[in-house]
Amino acid sequence: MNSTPPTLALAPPPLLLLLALGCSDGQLAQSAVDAPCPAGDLDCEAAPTTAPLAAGASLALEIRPVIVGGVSAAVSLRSGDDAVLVVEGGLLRAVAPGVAAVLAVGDDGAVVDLTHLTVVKADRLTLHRGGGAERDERAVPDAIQVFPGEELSLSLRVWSGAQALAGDVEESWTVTDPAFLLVDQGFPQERRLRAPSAGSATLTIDAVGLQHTLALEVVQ
Amino acid sequence: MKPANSPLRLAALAALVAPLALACSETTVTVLTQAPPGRAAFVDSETRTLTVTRGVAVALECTAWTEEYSGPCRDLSAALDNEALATILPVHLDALPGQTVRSSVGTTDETTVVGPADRAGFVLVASQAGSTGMTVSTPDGPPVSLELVVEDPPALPADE
Repeated sequence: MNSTPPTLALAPPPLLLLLALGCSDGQLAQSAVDAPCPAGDLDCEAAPTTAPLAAGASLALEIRPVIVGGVSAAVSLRSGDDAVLVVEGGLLRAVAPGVAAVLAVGDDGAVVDLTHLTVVKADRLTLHRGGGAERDERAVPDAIQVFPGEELSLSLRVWSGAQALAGDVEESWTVTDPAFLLVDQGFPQERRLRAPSAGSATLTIDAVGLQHTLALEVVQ
Repeated sequence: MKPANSPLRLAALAALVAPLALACSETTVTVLTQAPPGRAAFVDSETRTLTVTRGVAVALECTAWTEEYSGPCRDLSAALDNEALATILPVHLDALPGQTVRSSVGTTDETTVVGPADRAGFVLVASQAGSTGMTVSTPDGPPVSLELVVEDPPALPADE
């Protein structure tokens, strides 16, 4: 028998070349993996998911299969580690810090593409004026003055060190003086606030085990 | 030895090919995807070990070659001695742009067929730390045997 010993070789798979060129976000270059646009941001184009998820947050990850020939394919999500990420009703929920694969699985059970997401524990909350595309990236300081009847649009961001974290978190907004009208218009992590004709109050936001406060004072 | 997370290592692990050649046939298993930073999904060609961090998924492709056939592994199967350590799932891999099938020159029924070729592979999702044997089999070539090592992930700063 003419046998040859086992051999090893290195060869760059063509798919990796496609990844290097940025053709797709999925690791098999067969799908685009995008984070959803901020609510109310009508000009937004879905962006690649590069930010870690905050533990406790949910993310509506959008996976669009990109099959040669433009073939349409139905996929559902599957987590590689339920201790880190779980799939609930099509949403990803970050359970605990770690890294987990996210698989896009076709209706025949075959993996169409995969990616990995990181979950980290948030360590900081910041408040910003505006929301969606209108959000001011400068954080609101701990105390501000407002005019009588002034209306503020406020949005919350969740951080770990220098990284803003992805995902929608469950948050609670309370204000010490009900004369300061706090309105929830249904956009995640955003509220509108209307100041009364006079007075002061403290706005408190609780999210992912953290608390952030903003002192408000109406000036004449 | 645990490899460092250098660009060289990432390129090498993603492109590593582990063929086993016997007689006039060959089966090749190729790692198609790489692990995220701080995690592992690589083949050590010397120890014939596939190391994957728990929670990480890695896609692998199988090709086979004989004197009569060259292409994706037909009737591919991948099996673990201990199935608790990882889940193996089928994978869709986009077809190669073309495959040629032809008979030997000089025969009377020479035919040439050119068209897209399916690709064969699977995805392994590491779920529990430990090590076990893994065998990739196809009737088109000799089986490829590897040791699968599933590592626990390192502690993240945010874990503390």
